[in-house]
Amino acid sequence: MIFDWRYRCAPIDQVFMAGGSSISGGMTLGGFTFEMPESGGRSMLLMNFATFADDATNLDASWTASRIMNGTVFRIRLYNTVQLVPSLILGSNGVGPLWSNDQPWANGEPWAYDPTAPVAVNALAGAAAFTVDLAEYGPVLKIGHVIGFTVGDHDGAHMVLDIAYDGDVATVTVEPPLRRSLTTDSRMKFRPKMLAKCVNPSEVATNFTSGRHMTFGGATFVEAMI
Amino acid sequence: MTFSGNLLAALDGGGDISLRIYRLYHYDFDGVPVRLWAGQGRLFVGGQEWLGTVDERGTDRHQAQTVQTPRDGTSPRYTFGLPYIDKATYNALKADKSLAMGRAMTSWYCLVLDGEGLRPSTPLRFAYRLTIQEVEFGDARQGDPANSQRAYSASVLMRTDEVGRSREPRGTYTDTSQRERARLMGVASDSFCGMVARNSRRTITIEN
Repeated sequence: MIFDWRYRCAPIDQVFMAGGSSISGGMTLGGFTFEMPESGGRSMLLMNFATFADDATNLDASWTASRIMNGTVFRIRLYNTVQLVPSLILGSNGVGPLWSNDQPWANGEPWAYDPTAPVAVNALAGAAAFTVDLAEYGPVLKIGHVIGFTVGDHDGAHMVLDIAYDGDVATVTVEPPLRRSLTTDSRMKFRPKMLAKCVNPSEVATNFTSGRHMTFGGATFVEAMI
Repeated sequence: MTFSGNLLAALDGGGDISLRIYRLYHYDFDGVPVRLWAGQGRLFVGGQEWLGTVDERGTDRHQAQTVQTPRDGTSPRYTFGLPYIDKATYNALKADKSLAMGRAMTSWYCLVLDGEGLRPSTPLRFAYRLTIQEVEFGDARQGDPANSQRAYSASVLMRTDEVGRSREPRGTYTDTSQRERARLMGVASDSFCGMVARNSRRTITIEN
């Protein structure tokens, strides 16, 4: 089962890492022990939380506590940290569109802000690089940014490790490698989501203190490769 | 480019050497082949998709044994654990074990160069082949009642292809069969395989 992460259960910090695993490589003549990154290792998402204040968020947290213990895969929309390309640079105020009748959703929220750019060349799953056409924004993507793709039901987030611009067309090397094949109909997302599973559920779902406030412990999410 | 060629080129390239070699396992069950590799995620090589057996905690769920040399005509027996296979494959194998009996399990080496992600371009290199003798099934629950998991698993018992080789009348290994074969083919030899049995039982001590 894949559930959407309750966006209200917002962390106070979040970091996306594409560390993966490494293999001990050996020792140089100088005595430096080096390691080699494992091909295509899983990405990781760390989050810390403050106490949840309002009732609705606490109810979401209550539900999340059960689901998280169940080994559920969560579809987590990455929160807006400096790892994402800022909306100002993308020429927007970072607020998503309203419905066509200028109304928000029932909870007062507009649609999620979801800027994208078209993929320029087909890329196969497993590849470590893809090409994206950034003509709409200019060369905004930099090393260290996190971008992502949604292909069918699959959401993947990727760390930009290297980037080469040819005009506004960028060849981007990412880690982890692409999990799904991309076509020129695919679009690269500046507000990526990732599918992830919590690997320390019992540490996360800890304190439902008397009264009504829940605090989550620090959560470690590891990419779920489905 | 061949496996060795690519490997040597990467090693001789100067500067940093960045390459990984992984083992791939192809269980050729009839109709439901299982392809595994000792890594994470789906690996695309040889026109096939291989499933990584390392889970999100870094544990390799595939219990692959070290395969030894089958010299001396002995045929070691190996049990490979295939935990967490998908239910369709599990059911197919359990319903009809003949899908597995006598089928081959082939192991390959896969070279992944830097920047290739999970789509290496080097052809695979053959490592060894085993013949599947038997499959055993497990269907276990683990954990507390409030938080338990159900796991379907299968163990595959295998021998190398040298099984029973020394007993074959026209086999290649025993002294008797070698002599008989040489007689039929009209070939002369000096010692045939007379030394094999002796060598296999010999203890060699090296004095320092």
